[in-house]
Amino acid sequence: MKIEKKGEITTTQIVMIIVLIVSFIVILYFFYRLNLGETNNTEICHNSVVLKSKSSGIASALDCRTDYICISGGGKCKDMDPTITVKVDSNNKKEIMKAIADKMTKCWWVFGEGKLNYGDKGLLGSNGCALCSVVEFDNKILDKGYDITYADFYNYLSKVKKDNAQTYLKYLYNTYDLANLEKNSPALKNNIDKKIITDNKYAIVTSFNTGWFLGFFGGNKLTPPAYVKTSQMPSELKCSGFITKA
Amino acid sequence: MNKRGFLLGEETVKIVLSLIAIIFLIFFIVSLYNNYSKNKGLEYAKDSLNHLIDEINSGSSQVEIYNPNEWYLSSFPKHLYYNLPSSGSDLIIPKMCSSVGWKKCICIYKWNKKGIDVSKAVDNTGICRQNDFSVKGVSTTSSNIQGKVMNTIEIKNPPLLLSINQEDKIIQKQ
Repeated sequence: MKIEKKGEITTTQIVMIIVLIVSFIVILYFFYRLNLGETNNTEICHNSVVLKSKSSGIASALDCRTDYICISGGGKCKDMDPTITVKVDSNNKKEIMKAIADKMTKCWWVFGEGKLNYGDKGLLGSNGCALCSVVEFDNKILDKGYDITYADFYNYLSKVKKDNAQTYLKYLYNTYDLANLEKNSPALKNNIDKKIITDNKYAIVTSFNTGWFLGFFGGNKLTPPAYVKTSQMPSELKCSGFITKA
Repeated sequence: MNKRGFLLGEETVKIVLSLIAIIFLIFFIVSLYNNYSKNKGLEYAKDSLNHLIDEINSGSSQVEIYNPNEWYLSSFPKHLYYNLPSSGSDLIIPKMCSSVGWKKCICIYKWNKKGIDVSKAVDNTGICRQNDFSVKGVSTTSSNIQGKVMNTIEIKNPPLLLSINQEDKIIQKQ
């Protein structure tokens, strides 16, 4: 006599469904860990910079967004809805400086490291700024009351390696000589004793200046990223406009 | 037979036609460029407005707006002029908001100040989002009529630093 075993198929199905759900959860977890949104925006921006620099400037447009970065020691940034949260050990000053340095190097890479002229090429020339990131610190870091000045930060950049080949300072400013950099950068000279971690928002911003007549005259200048208080940007950088999207 | 004028007439026609073609080409290129600029401005406006609304919704007390430069930020409905007495008939709201049933909205738009119809400027070259907050500010115009426009802040000399009062639902320049 044949005995019907209806339940056997159902058990198999249940096991399959459980395996599928668990696999889905695992994949989702790794997806969020990868933070593909950040990578995609970065790659899209960089590609648009490359394309714009190769074209006549009319054929393509930049597609770059500002990152809103909360450097967090475990808390929240009070006046920002961040697109990126960088978690650091609030007791480790070097880790905080590294977080800022890494964002500056990312900005420089995205906008071509000074090798790609992405500014608008017009008859009269143009200048402008690209706001890579707006940075804020959470209350856990602010409560530490760190007294890190621009001098300390740039000293860090001159001593710490970005990769095996070069320091952060060399990569960003093409120099090993901090004194030389200070001499040639009035903005740095004016702020050398000021703190880099306060309850203000800071901007990581790079700028361009394209010469007139499609850039053939007057020279083209691409300035490495500066780390400045957002409220000081008009006086320190004199940007005629911002080419990045909010 | 005197045929002096014959060739000259033909050449003249060619020159005139060439000029017309060149003028048309220039017009076409300028239109393309203007369209590109307008679209770029609108893209910046859309992203800036979205960023403002996101910061409002997340409870922030301040926000910075970077572009588009020399565009305007207004809340609607609003009175057109500064020193007219308040009355319902003076309130204006762009069709971009009213047509979708929004009673209140915030907009970023381009306005050349010639003529005074701000709501039409929004409908032509602007972007709006539904929101209860009011923009507190008075912007001047070159119009001779009243000279000041309410609930408006010009995006000038970026960054434009705005404070957000979550309790009173007011956005104003810092």
